[in-house]
Amino acid sequence: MDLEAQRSKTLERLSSIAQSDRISEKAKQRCAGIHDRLESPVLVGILGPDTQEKQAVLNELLGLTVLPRDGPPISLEVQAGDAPYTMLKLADGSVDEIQSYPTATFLAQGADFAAITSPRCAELHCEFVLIECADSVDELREALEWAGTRIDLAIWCTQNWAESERTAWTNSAERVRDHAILVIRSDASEFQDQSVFSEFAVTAFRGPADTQTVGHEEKGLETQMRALIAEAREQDLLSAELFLRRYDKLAPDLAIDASTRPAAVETADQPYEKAQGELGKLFQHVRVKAEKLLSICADPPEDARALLEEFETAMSATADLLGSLPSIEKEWPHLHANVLDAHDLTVLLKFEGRQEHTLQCARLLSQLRDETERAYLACPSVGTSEGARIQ
Amino acid sequence: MTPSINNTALSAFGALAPLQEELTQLVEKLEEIDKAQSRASGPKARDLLENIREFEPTVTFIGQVKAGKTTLVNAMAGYPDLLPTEINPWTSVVTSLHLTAQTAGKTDECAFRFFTNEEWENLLRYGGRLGEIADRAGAASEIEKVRQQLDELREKSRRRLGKRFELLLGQTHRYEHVSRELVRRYVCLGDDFQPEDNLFSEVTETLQNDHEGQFADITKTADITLTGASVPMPLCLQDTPGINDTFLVREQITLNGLRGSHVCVVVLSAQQALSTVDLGLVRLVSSIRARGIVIFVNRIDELSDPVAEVPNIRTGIQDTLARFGGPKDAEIIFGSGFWAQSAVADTYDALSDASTETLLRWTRENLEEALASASPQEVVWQMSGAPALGEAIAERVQAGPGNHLLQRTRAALTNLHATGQVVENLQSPRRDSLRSANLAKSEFASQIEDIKSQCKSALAADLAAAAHSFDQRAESAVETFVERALADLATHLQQHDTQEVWTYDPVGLRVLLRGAYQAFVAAATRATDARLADAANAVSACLSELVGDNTIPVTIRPEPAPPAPAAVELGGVIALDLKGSWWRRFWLKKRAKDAYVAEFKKLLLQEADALAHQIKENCVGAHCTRLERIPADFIDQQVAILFDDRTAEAPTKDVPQRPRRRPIPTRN
Repeated sequence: MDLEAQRSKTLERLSSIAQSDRISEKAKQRCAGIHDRLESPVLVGILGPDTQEKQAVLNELLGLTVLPRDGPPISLEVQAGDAPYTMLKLADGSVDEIQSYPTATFLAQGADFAAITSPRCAELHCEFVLIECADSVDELREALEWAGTRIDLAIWCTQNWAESERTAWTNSAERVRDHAILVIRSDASEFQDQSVFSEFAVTAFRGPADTQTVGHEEKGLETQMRALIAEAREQDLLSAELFLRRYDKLAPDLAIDASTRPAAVETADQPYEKAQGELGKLFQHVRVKAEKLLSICADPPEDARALLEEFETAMSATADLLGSLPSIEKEWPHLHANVLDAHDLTVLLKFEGRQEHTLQCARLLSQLRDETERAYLACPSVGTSEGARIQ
Repeated sequence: MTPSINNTALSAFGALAPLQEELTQLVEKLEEIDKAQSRASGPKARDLLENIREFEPTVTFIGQVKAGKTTLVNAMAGYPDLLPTEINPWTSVVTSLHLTAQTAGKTDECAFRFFTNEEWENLLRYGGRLGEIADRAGAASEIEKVRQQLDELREKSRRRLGKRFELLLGQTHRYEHVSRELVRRYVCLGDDFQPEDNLFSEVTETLQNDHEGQFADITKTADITLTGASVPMPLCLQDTPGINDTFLVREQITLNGLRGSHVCVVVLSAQQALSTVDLGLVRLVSSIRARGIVIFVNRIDELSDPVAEVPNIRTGIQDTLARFGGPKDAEIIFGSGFWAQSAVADTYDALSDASTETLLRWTRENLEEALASASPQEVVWQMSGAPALGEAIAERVQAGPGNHLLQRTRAALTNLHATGQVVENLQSPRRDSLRSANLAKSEFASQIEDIKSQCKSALAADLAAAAHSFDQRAESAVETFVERALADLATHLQQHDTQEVWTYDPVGLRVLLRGAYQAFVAAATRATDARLADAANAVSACLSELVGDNTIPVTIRPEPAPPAPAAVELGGVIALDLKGSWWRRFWLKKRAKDAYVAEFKKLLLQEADALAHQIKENCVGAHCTRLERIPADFIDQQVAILFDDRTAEAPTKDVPQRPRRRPIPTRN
């Protein structure tokens, strides 16, 4: 079953549960919330101090020139709709509109906000909001705070990752930073602060300010954004599935797993929920690796060494991820030790390099997946955050 | 003779210029502070200046015997005939070429350090690492064999250097000039000497005899400083000895060289690039991150068809590295030190026909348009791969130690400004009275002490936790490894006769320990950065309060934590690596079939534990000790100028230079 079909099926189930008497009022509300989330497109926030780049990025992601080249800086949103349309909120409170994408002259009326409608949004499964702000810590922070409760994916446009940006960014909500792309308008070789790369899921260099490059990089950015959107949607679907699993015994087995989103958003400051979020990340990771590798094992290649190498790479990535999830060792020491043991054994098996070891590696990985899943499902608030609060 | 330099526009390290420029800018700013103003920030500025002036990135060349390492080093340095290339592979000298463009106030010089008594004794009495291993394995007869060989070695040295050669141990010979002959006397092992050379003279006075390789037996390191070199910034090129020696002494020396190194160039020979014979080499670099390594496949001048052969060689190398736990994704550059040398020495006209033919083929394939109008010398130089290697080195220096120095100095500079303003502010007449200021100051001092002890103990706890995690991981890795190896041994014994030698590659163990160490480093760095940020925030708040003016917030920026040393210990040989005769004899020792498992279990555990223990002590422990002090030191540096009594006095004009290490009279 493909994801879209699964999505509509899940939506149906959620609707039917919301109408049944089997669940509490609170759970119904939660159910409605999940339903809404699942139905609504992913909201991409385009942020940062580099106005020109933000507008260029928006055009590229939409795949057409929505914003005119020489338009003024302006905050705006792009929503799904049947035809191009722009509404301008003028400074005096009045509204102006045209049945097309905005032109430079139309925008030049001194508006502080534009609402654009584009058919492209439906295809991309996402909507955009572009926030205009000056390059100061306060303004950047304000923009991030606003975005923090709304957007699902952040794209930060910068030229030199200035101190003000760093400060604003590191103080923003974890939820924003979890799924973020950094777009840098300078040469990779001239960019100083390499430490920033680890903060973002994706970093794209787009040439120095005056020689804006287009071409394959542009496509790369769009592809990467699509991947992140797909991931975000998958996670929404997952939290819905987990919710269903709890409230609807008829729900199908998990087709996709673990999400960190509910825990991270709603109760980021509660240590146990933070740990649970980390466990979710680990589970998601192990699940994806297991799915991929076990499917290869079903039809193993001739060269056992290559497959063992894949197992080792996957397990090393898992061990690395574990290193960045400090709560797991505290909350689930057994699981922590088992991940490392499985990693160690996989490494040794790889270097021994025998054909029969692939089976052993596969067993290790699926055991690990099952164990992580058990730990994750045993968490009190998986799928519904009231769980933890009520208990 | 002064080594001839011929570097007309051929500089391998031009790509370091941008880094040097940035450093120069910082130096200018610091000098301004040092000269112009406040007596308060002067000393700190001078420390920062000193840091920059002493900055000398080290590039270590290691390689197969006969890979042409020294020829390459000479060419890269721009001194085509400086180090002897026909060196006997038995030498154990690490030669460091300190290159600097500077000429004012500096002269060429060199220093040759001999083994200390202790090192020599350790080598002779215990047979170095091999003795250690044999001892652990309880192979008494092996130790005896090692001893015999060592006795021979000692006799040979005595013949060369005279009866009292042991008196030389621990000494350092220094010269205020550099010559090829001088270098050869210490780092080149020539033919055996006639005994009469030493019959009539004290060994320390035989220098006029001027023999090649006279001191090579006992020379441990050679440091050669060359001024006026064609480098944008000071740079050290380190030529290491080969690694496959009987007693594993040179291996230790090479490992120690790698410990302090910033970039490691692995020189391979194109004719036999990385066969299984060179696993020692893979092992040696396996502890270093791929980012710190460049692989240079040398001697492509000897390939008949480099264009066709190079891709295969590349795949072969990558395959070997992956299979034996070497650094994946290391950059591989192809070239010829010989061509580079002929370009530098301007002797490329004299290349042999075969070499010229190869050069032409290679050039046709790789020549870029930009070079179409270049001089033949420039083309040969480009094709030799030396400039590409220099660029790769520069890139790594820039991204690693260079970036760290820049970041650190920049943060320190900002902080210097911030604290300087605090001092100014406190001294301004607007302050209520000196007394209240003093009061605030003593209050401030106690606050700072509190912050210091808090940061220190918090970091100590973090580091202890990280070290504990390492211990656990290492312990479990050793257990898993021994289990696996014994399972393999059991299978072997089931399937084969005991005459069939069993071996088990310990590469997996190294990979596991490396992983455990990297996890430790990541955790320790995270903790240190976090505590430094805490410290910076707390000090900022304290200083703001001291100034007592809300409109002037004081912001102190944290400095980046220092990088962790590579776990070079992982490169050391353990018994399981010895797949030759030694292992064979150990295996074939008569024992009951049951005894194999027990005996090998003991050996495996000991070897694996020894490796884990070394990393624990030398890397984890040492790094913790180093990091623990950092927040307190950082805080001290920030507030020192507030407590500095000298702030009241006039600035001293002449700052005493740091004494240079030169305790021993120089020779001529």
